[in-house]
Amino acid sequence: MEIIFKALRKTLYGISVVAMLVMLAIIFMQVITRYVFGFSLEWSEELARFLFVWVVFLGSALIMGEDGHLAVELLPRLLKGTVPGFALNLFINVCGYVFIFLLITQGWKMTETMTFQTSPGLGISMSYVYMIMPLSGLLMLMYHIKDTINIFRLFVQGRTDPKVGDHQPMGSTD
Amino acid sequence: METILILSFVAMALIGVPVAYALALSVSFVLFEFMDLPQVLIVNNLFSGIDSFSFMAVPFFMLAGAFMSAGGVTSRLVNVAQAMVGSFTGGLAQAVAVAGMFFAAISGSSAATTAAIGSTMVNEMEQKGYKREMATGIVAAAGTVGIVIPPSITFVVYGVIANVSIGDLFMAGVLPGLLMGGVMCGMGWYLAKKGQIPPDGSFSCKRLAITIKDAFWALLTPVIIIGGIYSGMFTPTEAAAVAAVYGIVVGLFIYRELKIKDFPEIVFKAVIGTTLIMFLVGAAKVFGWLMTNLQIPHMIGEAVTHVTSSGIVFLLIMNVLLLVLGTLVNASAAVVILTPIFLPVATSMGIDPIHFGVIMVVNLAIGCITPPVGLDLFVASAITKVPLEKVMRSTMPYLLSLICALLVITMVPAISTTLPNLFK
Repeated sequence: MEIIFKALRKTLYGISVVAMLVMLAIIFMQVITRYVFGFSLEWSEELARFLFVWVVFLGSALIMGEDGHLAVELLPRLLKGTVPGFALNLFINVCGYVFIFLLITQGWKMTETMTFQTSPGLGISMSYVYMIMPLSGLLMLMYHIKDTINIFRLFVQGRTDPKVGDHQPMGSTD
Repeated sequence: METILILSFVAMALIGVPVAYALALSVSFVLFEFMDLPQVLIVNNLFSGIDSFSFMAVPFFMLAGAFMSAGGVTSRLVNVAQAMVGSFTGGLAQAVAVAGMFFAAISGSSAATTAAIGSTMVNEMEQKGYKREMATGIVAAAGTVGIVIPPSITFVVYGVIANVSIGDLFMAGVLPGLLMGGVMCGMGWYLAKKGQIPPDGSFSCKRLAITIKDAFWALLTPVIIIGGIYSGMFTPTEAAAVAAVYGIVVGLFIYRELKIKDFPEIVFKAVIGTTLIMFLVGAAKVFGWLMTNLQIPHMIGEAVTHVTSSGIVFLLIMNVLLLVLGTLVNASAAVVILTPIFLPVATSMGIDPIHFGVIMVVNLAIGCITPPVGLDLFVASAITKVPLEKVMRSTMPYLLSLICALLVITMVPAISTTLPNLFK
């Protein structure tokens, strides 16, 4: 199983890093073409925006293998290693499943129904853009199942692993 | 139904459900239980909440800051700060505050500012007679100006949500940021005077000139960003992209400390940082959409005006609310959740949306060093290995001085609104 997640991380890592650099290149080129050549491309801004959304949704799966999504970790930390703590972690985990279920099913519904809508700049079907939501949901599901297994494993072993339920209390970004 | 929406979100978020899930799930529950609306609206709003050209400034500003600090900009900025104020009483503590302001002008985040300054300055302060925990305290506090002095990721988020010009917000953040830096310098001076720390060398114009020359390309960054936006050359997103590319060029070709092989890791960190913020922003859009649909902002507004009709009292209440919330969630998340609720109230009381944005951001910046969970405290503690409790204690005087600055910024709108009005 470790091999699968390693490969998955590597793939997502590669895609998101490249997408980010392409985004940067597109917007930078947009400035250059506007001032040096006096025109701007119609599709470039839209492509960058779609890449941005894709990066965020792919990142939302990737992040689960790193520090996890932002959460207030006060209570889980206080209860770490106890039976109520286990129940709490399980409840939090179940909430995650409901969210992921929503993202997959409703995201797929949007993908399916938006086939007729095309993007104004690139002229591609919006389905391709919305597809990232169910896709990201499936990737998140993989990481989430791993989390569930971890919660049970730790409880059975009766020891506390600093890596589980010990994320940063907030994003490391602001 | 309104109460259930808000309470179910607060309850889930407080017990530790990721905030983004809690936002979407409380909406999902209310839609399912009480309203005749399809669940697909959740993902629809989640998507459209992220899909914005202006928000692309978030990853680009992150990249700009990351490329610059990897490219040797930080140490040069620190040198300038030391040459400027290092020779005064408490000079090193003041230099930390000044370096924090410099770095804030090329980076859009508090944690990045704390990390950059902390890793370069704490050891030196210790050598020169500061206690390690005292040094860590000022480093954590100096980071707060990261989101107040432009560029600022939190201002970008506020600008999009509140529909206020990001350029104006950046300009509005300058004086409050300087004020915050100023009171921290003052506190550094006072503490050093009390603690009998001798001044470090004497002031030399020559040394200052040399360090400024060396840091010239770094110091040019804020000029490019703010000048570019204000002259109408770039949109804020484009300015962020230009700053990132500029950071690459300076790091690779001028200071030559940036290495191509470090690129993937730098960009990856920006991916993770962007996702943390943007996924939450999208989820908050879902929540905000339903709140507006249920007219919750209107109800809260009426309740607030029932309690007080005074703008100042309202702002003081906001200060307390934001300081508390700022310790629980990160600044961007708080902005996304609270702006749709309280901005209409503020404008109905005649408070300038720009001033209101500055108050929110300064509050949330201070939340970064407010115990028990202020983010900058964790970052500083992780870098210097000083235990969290000790960091908290030594940050306390700076926290108090920043709260004084916050009160002044709240009471005197001119500090925020003068610069944007001047450049209109």
